[in-house]
Amino acid sequence: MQSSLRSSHGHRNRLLLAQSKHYSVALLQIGFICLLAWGAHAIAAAIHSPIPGSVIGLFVVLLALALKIIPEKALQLGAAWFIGDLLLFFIPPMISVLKYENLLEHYGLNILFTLVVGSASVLLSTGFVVDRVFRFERKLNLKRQMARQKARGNISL
Amino acid sequence: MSQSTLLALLSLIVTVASYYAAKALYRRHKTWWLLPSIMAPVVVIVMVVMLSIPLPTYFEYTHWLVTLLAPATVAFALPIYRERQLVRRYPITISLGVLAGVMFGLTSTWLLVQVVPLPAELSHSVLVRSVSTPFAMQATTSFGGVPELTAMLVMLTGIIGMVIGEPLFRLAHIHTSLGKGVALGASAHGSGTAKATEIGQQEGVVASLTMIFAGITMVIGAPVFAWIFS
Repeated sequence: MQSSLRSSHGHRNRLLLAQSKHYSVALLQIGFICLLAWGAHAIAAAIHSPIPGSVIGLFVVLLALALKIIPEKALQLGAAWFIGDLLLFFIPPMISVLKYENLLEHYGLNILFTLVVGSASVLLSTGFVVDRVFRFERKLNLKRQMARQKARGNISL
Repeated sequence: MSQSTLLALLSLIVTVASYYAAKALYRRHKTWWLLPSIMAPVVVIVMVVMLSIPLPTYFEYTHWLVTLLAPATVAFALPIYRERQLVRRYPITISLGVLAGVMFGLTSTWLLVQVVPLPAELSHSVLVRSVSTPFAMQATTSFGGVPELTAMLVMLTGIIGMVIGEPLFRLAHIHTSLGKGVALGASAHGSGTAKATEIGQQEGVVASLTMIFAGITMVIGAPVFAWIFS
């Protein structure tokens, strides 16, 4: 009894330790990604780039990942937080809607109509086009694969 | 501590807390009104109105949250890198899909704005509504839009796309995983991606890639698009 209690206690401690390690690694990565973003922002501002710094930063990080300059693991936890909790960062701008209370009261229905009809047409037209293109490209890939297998077969013959 | 600092601090705490509380609640009970994109702003707005917190006070600390949108954009490099296999396998479908999504989004909204009477702040802000918030808030100024209004319109668009997506696919016989994924990512960004992930794993991955590529396309193309759609 006594020993099992102690072991469960030890288990919980280990779990806590692992958890706090997880959070501190995530925090470090979040800081690292912030530095990258703000660095890219400063450079973009300095060279008067028409493309915003954050998008330049995205491409730079993508390149660094592809060239294995930054390992995937060094960004994983931080990136997961940024992407998973994206919504948190734009709650404040939504609150400034209070400034436009009158506007929304008057045009609420018009906005809703525009958004619903617009979204429906984007969903339908994009889905329709992609459905067709995808079937075509899937066939193309299959043909290519078969041609490759045939070529390989001929060589082995 | 002055009363204003206290209220500013409370604003930050309530904003963060209501978001995580709504997220945890929604995970347990999948009811639409518990969606963090609905619940959290409602709680915060109720607090701001009830305590009559002036907006500048509300933004004193919470504006730091908004500055995190830039690193969030950079973080999108990771999913692109991780799913590069899919991009390599279906380059035509994904690039055409992204382009179609962005162009259909702009055209349909532009046409609607010509018919539906809306004041300039709104009609200019609504054009970029289909792409993810960090990109939309960046691109909207090229169209003469207001970033804050854009953030709200983007969020509403996401919720609408999430709700009407699946029934529309059934109605229009859109069955392929890429068709659904690209359409949801291109029209309803983050919320669409969440919905696509519910439908299937590949749908989710495709939607998230589409959302990111559409956002990048919108930001880079904004000056040109603004010139066409004005």
